[in-house]
Amino acid sequence: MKKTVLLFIGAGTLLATACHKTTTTTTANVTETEVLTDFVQKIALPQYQDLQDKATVLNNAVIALNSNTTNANLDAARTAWRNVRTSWEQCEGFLIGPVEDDNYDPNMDTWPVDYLQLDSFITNSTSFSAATVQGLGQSLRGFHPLEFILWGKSGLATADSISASQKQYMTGLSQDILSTVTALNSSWAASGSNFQSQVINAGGGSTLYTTRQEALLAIAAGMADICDEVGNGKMYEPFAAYDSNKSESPFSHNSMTDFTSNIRGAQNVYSCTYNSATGASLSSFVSSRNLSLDNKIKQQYAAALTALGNVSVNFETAIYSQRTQLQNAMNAIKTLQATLDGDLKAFIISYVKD
Amino acid sequence: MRKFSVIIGCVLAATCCIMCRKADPATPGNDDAFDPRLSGGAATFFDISSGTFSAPIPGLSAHDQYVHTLGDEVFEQPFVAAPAPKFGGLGPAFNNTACANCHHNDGFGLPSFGALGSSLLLRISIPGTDEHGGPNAAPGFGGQLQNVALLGVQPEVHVDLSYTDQLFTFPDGATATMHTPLYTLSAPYIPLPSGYMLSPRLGPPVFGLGLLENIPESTILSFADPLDKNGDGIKGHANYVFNPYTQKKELGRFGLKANTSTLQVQVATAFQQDMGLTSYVQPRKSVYGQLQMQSVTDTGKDLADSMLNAVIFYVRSLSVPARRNVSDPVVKRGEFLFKQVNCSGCHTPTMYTGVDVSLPALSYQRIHPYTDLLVHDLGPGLADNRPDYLASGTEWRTAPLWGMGLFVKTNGTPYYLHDGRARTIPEAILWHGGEAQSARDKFVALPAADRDALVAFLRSL
Repeated sequence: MKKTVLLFIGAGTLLATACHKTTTTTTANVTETEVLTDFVQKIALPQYQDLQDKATVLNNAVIALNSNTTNANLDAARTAWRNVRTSWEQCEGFLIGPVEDDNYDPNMDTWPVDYLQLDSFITNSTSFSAATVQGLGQSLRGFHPLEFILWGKSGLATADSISASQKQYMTGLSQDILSTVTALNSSWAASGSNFQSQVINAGGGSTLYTTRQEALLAIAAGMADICDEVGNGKMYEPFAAYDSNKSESPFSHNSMTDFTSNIRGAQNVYSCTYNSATGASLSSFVSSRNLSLDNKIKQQYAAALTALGNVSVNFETAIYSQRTQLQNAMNAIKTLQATLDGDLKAFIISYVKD
Repeated sequence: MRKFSVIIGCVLAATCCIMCRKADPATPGNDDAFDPRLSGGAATFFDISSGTFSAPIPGLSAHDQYVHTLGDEVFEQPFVAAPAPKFGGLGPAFNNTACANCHHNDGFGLPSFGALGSSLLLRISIPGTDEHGGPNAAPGFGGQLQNVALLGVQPEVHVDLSYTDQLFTFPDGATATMHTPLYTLSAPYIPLPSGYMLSPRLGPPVFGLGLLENIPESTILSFADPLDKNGDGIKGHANYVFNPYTQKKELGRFGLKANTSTLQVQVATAFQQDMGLTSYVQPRKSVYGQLQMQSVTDTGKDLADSMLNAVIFYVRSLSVPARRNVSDPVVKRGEFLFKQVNCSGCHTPTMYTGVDVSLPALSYQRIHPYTDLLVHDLGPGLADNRPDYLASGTEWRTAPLWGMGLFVKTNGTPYYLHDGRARTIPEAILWHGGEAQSARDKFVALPAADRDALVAFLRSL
């Protein structure tokens, strides 16, 4: 009897070893430099370009809505707004460099909206140009005041209910968003401020990242930070306060999509995959050295996205009616964050020495 | 007998060895016994990301961690006009809308006025002192110019900032560009009083403040040498300032002229003066007694006591980043030079905090803030010519240097000095005059490799 058990164990070990082997052979052994280069080439640059393209579409849609205010054009502008949000929230998976240092993020993505000032501005201002918008406080700029106009405070706006001043304001807003996003894209471009060279040349001339370890840690911190922001901030604060006024996109009820895009953005960074283009990923780098850690991270990304997908109503409603699902999603995101902040950073520190 | 003496000899030798080797942790000067990376003692955080100033001190209880997080949220929260369901009470005149806008990543902000990330503000006063010996508020403007306002409210003034460049040449031919700021006021909402004095301030980093608050007064006073008895050209004296909450004169530690005594007053006054938010410590709007007060309808406290207390606790419980490259020979050389040219005469490297049983990580810690928390004459180049309690128009508080090598991580572009005028470390050193003239001159006279070593040391902080 004992022998049989041993035999089973033996067979099991053999099987396990066999499985292990097949997995490792499919994993290319990528270098740190390749990971950094492809993070720039396959993730950061294409995503910022995509963001700029989508912001251009939004700006055109808003201009069209202003000149021909029909419900069809309102729908088109709303769709364009949702698309640019998806792109931007995915870009939040790597909030490193100019987006953070030069305040691009709060300039276009501050919430909650300042209703009182917004009303006062719309009623009293004589200019709604992009230049005027750029001089306003951050709570009167960016995506969320535009969302407020396109959907209305209760989400019931129609083409007829948008006032003349609101129409002018929304064109100023979308123009301002486009110029912020264009500047952000340019800050990474080789033809612009060329922040990409700081990442690619980490440990070899970069003034910001004197070692490759620093650059990889910054990327890992970027992923962990967005998980922290979603799990402990964006979701937790309205959830804990039972207050849908504090949610990120309350007028369009786009908040769940925002959260999912954030986690997907971080997952894109880890797997170095965007728009079906792939490159040398942090995932490959980890798996060839610590397969179980790579599996754990992949599994936790999948679990977080599944848990978010289990919320079947919009976030502002779920705060009151699907608290268990929200709690599960926050737990999954926090588990992922702990792994990225703990295991992954420790891995980088022990395996990347230059 | 012989055997016996050999044994005694061995024992003696062993004792000697032990005595020699044993470090005396009670002696602040004995650096070898301690890990030089631990700038904040137990309250040190090992990280080189952009969040390196944002870590809580270790060992917080679950409740303390909760309060810290709460404070963190309020610190980052943009405030809006009242009445609002949440975070109302901004202004009506202000400098910025969120703590984090001026203290980006818990560091500093941009040396500009009126934009989202602008961190500069101007203090204003007229000659004379108030009833507590502090600056004499400018009628109609108070002690600080709020250059931004809510819609429909006129800002107190518009500020333009321009720079003129001067080229500085080192004896070996190397050059540095020194950037002199010029502030131009326009469009005041009422005429500015005659003889007004201005003082620009760039919001400083907010980490490690719990440790600084916990340095015993006796330690700070022991650094003072107002009569320059040791003849090194460095005097240094404490500033004593009025605390509006305790209604007492206290030793000033915070603020760029050491014009605030506690974190409680520092945080509450920043909320009040920079953002227009009232609290139990500062219950009056910054525009109290001025024309803009007409637009204020709600005269209650804008900040709940718990919100203010959470932010105070947040800044008290931010840890200090660890040093890097401490064993690098160039950095070691720079550290030696830092002491040799006597930068350390004011930027005191090492001291101990007092005992605080509630927060062990801040309690009796050996720390390296590189400040004596005293005010010193820095010469005409940096002078604001605006006295602030006992700090004269040429005196500034010694700035803590810990974490300065990480400004590039937290802020992208580093800026140094009280108004952010210096863009490089050598430029910042070159501006030092007055009591620091001798150290500055010795730095200038160093060979280029040694100057670079000193800068490398500062970057390792």
